[in-house]
Amino acid sequence: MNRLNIEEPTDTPGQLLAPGVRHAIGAVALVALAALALLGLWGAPPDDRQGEAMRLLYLHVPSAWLAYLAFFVTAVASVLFLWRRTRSMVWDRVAGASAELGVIFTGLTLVVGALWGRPIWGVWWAWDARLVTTAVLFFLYLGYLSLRRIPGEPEAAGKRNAIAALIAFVDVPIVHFSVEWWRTLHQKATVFNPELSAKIEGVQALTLWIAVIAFTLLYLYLLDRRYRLAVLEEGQAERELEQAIRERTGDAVAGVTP
Amino acid sequence: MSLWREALLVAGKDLRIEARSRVALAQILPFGIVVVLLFAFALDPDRGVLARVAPGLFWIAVLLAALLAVGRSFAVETQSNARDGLRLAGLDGAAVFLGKSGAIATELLGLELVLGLGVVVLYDVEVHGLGVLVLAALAATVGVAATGTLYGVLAAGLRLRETLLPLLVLPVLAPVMLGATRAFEDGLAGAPGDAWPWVALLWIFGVLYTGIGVLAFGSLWEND
Amino acid sequence: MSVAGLLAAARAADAHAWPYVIGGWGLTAAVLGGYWARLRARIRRAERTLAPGDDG
Repeated sequence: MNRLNIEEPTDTPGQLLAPGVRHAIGAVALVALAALALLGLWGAPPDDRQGEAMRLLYLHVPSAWLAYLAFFVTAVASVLFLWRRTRSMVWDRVAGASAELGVIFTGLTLVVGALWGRPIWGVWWAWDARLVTTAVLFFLYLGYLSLRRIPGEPEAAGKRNAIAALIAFVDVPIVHFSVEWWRTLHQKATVFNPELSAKIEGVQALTLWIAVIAFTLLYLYLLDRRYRLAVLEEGQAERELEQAIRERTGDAVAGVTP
Repeated sequence: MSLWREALLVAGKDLRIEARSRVALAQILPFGIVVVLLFAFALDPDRGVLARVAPGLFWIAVLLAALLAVGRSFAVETQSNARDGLRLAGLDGAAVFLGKSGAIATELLGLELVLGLGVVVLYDVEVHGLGVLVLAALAATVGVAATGTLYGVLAAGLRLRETLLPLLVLPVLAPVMLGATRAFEDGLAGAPGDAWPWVALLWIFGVLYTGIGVLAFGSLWEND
Repeated sequence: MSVAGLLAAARAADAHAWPYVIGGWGLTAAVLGGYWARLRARIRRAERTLAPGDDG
């Protein structure tokens, strides 16, 4: 810990992706997002059954996919951190960055889903297993992010975070199962009538695929940036600590020698 | 010393502290009763709503009181560095977990008994299928105590513990709330057959989180 | 409600669906764009303070 003049922690990579790869991913993501906006808002025809509201699914579906992917990445990174042979702060940062993105995409999934549900089902919200599980997921990981924000000695805090992430992850299937059970025991699903689902083909399917690809690339890009920020913030905290120590010891020396 | 002896020692210590300080008896229990009363104010006792939704109200009251019990259980360890004492005594992390969650579960069972009587008297609930109710309550209590103890140690000693703990614990306990309420509804409605799957779910949850606690508590306990 | 009823309701609502669509797309763009812009600003600020030479 006696390294003075450090710029950033050097024992782990300062970013996940090589700059060239990152720029390429960012550029492709941007082009794909532009294509998505063009196709999703204008190019794709309105759906036979769902009409124009179908256009919200081009955002809702990839958001939901990324929410689940992001939390899965958090769980895997947490396991890799807990396992002694792969323990590295890299995994702690990946877990945190991915969870933050997961919470954002979960929030978007819920809000865009509600905006879609209102014209299609006539209600903003339905007590369906998927919806309730997603809402619980949102709060589970919101709590996890709050826990992460509390500083501590890196290794101890990393363990704490990783275990909290796994406790939350184990809960997801139980929540889903219990809510599904609850809803199907008491009533027949009315809003999820298969006759109402969109028949996705042609330009619509293409748009949806572009949406999924664009969002996944955006996720990768943002994950790298969030990781980078975590590295910089750790370096900053370390520097501030060292400066404080230097000031204190400097004072002590000044006090002894007149 | 065996794991269970150590766990019993820890549980005994926690329960003795509660018996002497009377926080559980003089503050947490009255808090639970006040919550039960507040529901009656909110839902107008004359319209028969209370008796119908009594299981859900009961479990919400228990969960809120359980949050206080968990916070209390770890406040005791943080004060005067009692934690270091336990650590220096060379107790196994798993034993500390079992002991502390056992003590919380015992307190909660007492609380549930009193609140249950309160609900029966105040909400005019007719009790049927007592066996199902007891088994469901036991399972739910194990799950709540295990989850609470796990998050209690995660958040112990941290700033913001009081506000963080509810946000962490309550979403995880969503299936317990759901399962316990359904099991109680079915049991009270005289249809214990419908309640058994929920009781099974509650036991799975309780055993699962107790297992995670036994495995993970040691490293969390010794670390920071 | 019957399937036919639901379909009829959906068609009737179709003309009113555009505000929801615009709202959803606008919100998504604002949230993701805002998150990205904030990340970039924070990284730039942190990199400036960590730049070599100002180590005091």
